[in-house]
Amino acid sequence: MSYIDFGVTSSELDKLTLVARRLGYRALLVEDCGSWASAVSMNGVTLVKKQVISSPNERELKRALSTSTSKSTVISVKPLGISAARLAARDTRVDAVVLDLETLNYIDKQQFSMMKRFSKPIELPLKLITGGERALAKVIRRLIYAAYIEVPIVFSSKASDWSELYYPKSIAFLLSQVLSLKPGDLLSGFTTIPREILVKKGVKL
Amino acid sequence: MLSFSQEAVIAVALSLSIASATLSIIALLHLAKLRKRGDLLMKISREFEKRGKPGKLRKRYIVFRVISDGKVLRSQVEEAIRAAVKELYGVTIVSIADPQLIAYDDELMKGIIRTNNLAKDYVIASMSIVREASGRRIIVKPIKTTGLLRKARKYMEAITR
Repeated sequence: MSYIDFGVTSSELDKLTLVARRLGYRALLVEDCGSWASAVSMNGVTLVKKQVISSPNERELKRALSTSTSKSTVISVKPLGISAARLAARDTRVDAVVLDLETLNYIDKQQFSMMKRFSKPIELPLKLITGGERALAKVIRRLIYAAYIEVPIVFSSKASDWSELYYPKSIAFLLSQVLSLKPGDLLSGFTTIPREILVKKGVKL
Repeated sequence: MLSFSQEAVIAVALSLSIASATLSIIALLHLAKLRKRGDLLMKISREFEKRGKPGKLRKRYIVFRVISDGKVLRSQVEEAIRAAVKELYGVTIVSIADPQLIAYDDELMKGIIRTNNLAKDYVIASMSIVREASGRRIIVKPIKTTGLLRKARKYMEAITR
C-alpha cells in the first residue's frame, strides 16, 4: 500500500522522507518549500509542492489564485470568511479546503453540500486529533456530518519533524471508531483521493 | 323419486360436509401460519440466545515495529503503548485490552503484543498516538494481527530491517 500525506511542513526533508518510506508513504506534499521544481524524488518518496492560501474574502482569494505560480502546485485554501469558503468550494484551481479551528465557523452545512457538488475534498490536519478535547469535539461534529453526506476527506500530518508522521492504518482505526466508518474507507484519504488530485496536476508517481 | 324429507336430509348433509371441508381448510391454513410463526419465533429466540451469550475472549497477537532515533528497551515500549491506550480510552479499556509485550527484538526493535479480539482495534488505534518512550522519539507501526502465536512469530521473523 502506498500512502500520500497531504501536507508536511518540514525543513529536514532527508530524514523525513526516510521515515515516510518506512511507513509506506509514496508521496509527500510539502508546504512552504524552497525553490525546487514542482515534484522531486528523495529517498524513493516523491515530494510535491503545495501552497496554502489563507483568505478572508472572495476578492483576496481570487487575487491570490491568479498569482499562483505553477500549474502542478497543489493548492489548499484556508477560508477565513464565508465568501472565501464558497469560492474555494466551486473554483477548479483549488484542490482542497482546510478544516481546522480557524476555518471551523465558515464550514457549515451549505459549504459541505457545495463541496460535495463540486467533489472538493476537505483537508483534515491530523494534529487536531491529538489536540485538546474541546477543539476535537468541534471538529468531530463537522467530520461526522462530512462523512454522513459523503464529502471526500484527505489527511495531512503537518509534520515538521519525522516523529510527527502518522501511520495511516492506525489513524484509520482511530477515526473509524469516531466516525462509524470502515477503516478501509477512511484509508482512501491517504491513497486514492490525494492520488487523483496529483494525477490531475500531472505529477508522476 | 326421493321424498321431501330425504331431499332435506341430503341437503343438510351436503351443506354440513361443505362447511366441515371449509372449516378444515381454514384450520389447516391457520395451522400452517402458526407453524410458520412458530418457526420464526424459534429463529428469533435462537438469535437472541446467540446474542445473549457473553462473547468468547480470543487472543490476538499484533506484530509491530518501532521506528526511533535510538535504541528503545522492551519495558519502555510496553509502558508507552499501555499509557497510550489509557490516555485515549481510559482505565476500563486498558484493563479489558491488557496489552502485554510477549516478544521483542532489541536490535531490530520489532515485537509482538498480546491482547484480545474485543480490544485489538483500540490497541492498534492507540499505537498512532505513541510519540515518545522514556525521552526518545518513536513511531510504532503495527504490521499484522493474527490469532496464532506461531504465525505472529513467523511474521516477526520476516521483518529484516
